[in-house]
Amino acid sequence: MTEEKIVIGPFYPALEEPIQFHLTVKNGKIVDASFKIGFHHRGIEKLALKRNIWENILLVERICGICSNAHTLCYCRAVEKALNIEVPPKAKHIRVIVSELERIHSHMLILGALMHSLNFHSLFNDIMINREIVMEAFELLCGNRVHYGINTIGGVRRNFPEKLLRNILENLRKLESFIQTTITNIENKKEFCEKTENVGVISKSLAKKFDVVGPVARASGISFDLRKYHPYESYADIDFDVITRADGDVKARTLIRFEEIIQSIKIINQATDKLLSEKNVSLYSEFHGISPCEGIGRVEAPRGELFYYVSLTNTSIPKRVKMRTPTFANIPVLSEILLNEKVELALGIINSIDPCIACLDRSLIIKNGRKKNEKSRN
Amino acid sequence: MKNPETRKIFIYHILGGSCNGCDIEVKVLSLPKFNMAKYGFEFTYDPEKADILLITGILTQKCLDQVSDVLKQALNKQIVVAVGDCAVTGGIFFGSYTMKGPVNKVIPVDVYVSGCPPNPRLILQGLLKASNMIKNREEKRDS
Repeated sequence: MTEEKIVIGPFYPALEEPIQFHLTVKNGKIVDASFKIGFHHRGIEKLALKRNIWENILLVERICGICSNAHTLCYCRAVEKALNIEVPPKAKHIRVIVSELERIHSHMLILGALMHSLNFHSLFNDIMINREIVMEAFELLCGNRVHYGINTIGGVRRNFPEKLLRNILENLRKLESFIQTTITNIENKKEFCEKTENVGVISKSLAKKFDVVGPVARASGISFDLRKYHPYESYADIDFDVITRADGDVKARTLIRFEEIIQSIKIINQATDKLLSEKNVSLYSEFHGISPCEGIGRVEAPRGELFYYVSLTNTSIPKRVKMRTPTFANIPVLSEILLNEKVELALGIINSIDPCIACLDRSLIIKNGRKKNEKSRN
Repeated sequence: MKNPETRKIFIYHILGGSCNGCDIEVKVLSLPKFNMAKYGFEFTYDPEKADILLITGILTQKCLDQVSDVLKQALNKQIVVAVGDCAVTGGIFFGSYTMKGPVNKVIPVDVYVSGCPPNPRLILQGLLKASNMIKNREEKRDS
């Protein structure tokens, strides 16, 4: 049997975003896999050096439309650490609520995409319809469905009214019951297990070798969650479980996201109670003067650990803003786990690690680039 | 198929390097909440079949290389809808070294939908405007 080469992407319906996969197939099984990135590279790290630290909040928010709050939170925490700013308690609770709402909608989006790529279209529809509960909550709380503009250096920009929060908690209860029934439905569903069990397995040793983060690592038995082990904001006072699974296959990575949604709803409930009983009304703390300093921020984004480094000089324009996104850590493992799998399951495996290409495209490789670009322009 | 009120209008979506915000808001249109099928819109993955080209993002050099053939054949044939501030003006990424847009620098745009990202209802309104343009065009051709 001869080898065949298959190219998936960059614009392909089952992939959410442009990325190109080159698969070599023999006897219906993948023997070699590589990928090409950089379609969404927008030169954000360079742009960040042209704007001041407040304008950069808007810029880093637009790195990614799915985990935009995680980016602003992490950036603000890096600047706050550099300038020694203490955030008031009320702002901390609001940041937790928005972060967890974002985790729910991000997980539901990728679960929908995963079901779509595994050909469970009715489940895809159900998940996306229920995701609108969270999007509506965002529209009511923050005024926008995608970029919330809630974080600022030193705190948050708005308070949430009590009546609205109570309404949203009631809606989230409906969402929780939907998630619970979905878990019980798909856990023993024969068609689902056939396509996901023992497919794309990341063993614990492989996970450590490739340094995967977030739900992908937790599905391989690595119990690491920044919210629990290096708590930030008000996560230290909140009771929740870090969910791990030992199998490391596509099924484990799917179910772990469903279970994390339930934990997120638990966290939102507790954070709301804390927010409503908080007596200190200030939302942000002011600061004066910028001196040369540097700081880092670490946040558990929906896809794993997000890292920011900010270096400041005497002016308000930063010297360096560096970000390391979770997908950047997760994507190299794909070239290993795609091997010896059936071609028809490739898209399921790719979507199971939740690739966010807009986050990923932080660098650009140019080979004789300038000459090539000049030619194409003429 | 000739009756513009009953025919389907096919949309081809080009992701030109954005933050995903607009792309997801466009995909959400097919949910029952926004119900774009009611107005006859449907997504297609064949650019030649499409009536509307929906472009999001700043059009990075790498994306433009991939879609330049699609854009060339679209000239004077298809209605071009630019969705999101990135596609309309360059938005927050204006001045980036990979930016080859905004879209009207590369191809003439018929409908602009601005917002960062625009609400799905607003995108639907833009698409309805585009479908009216198609209707008018076909009426002119027939008469």
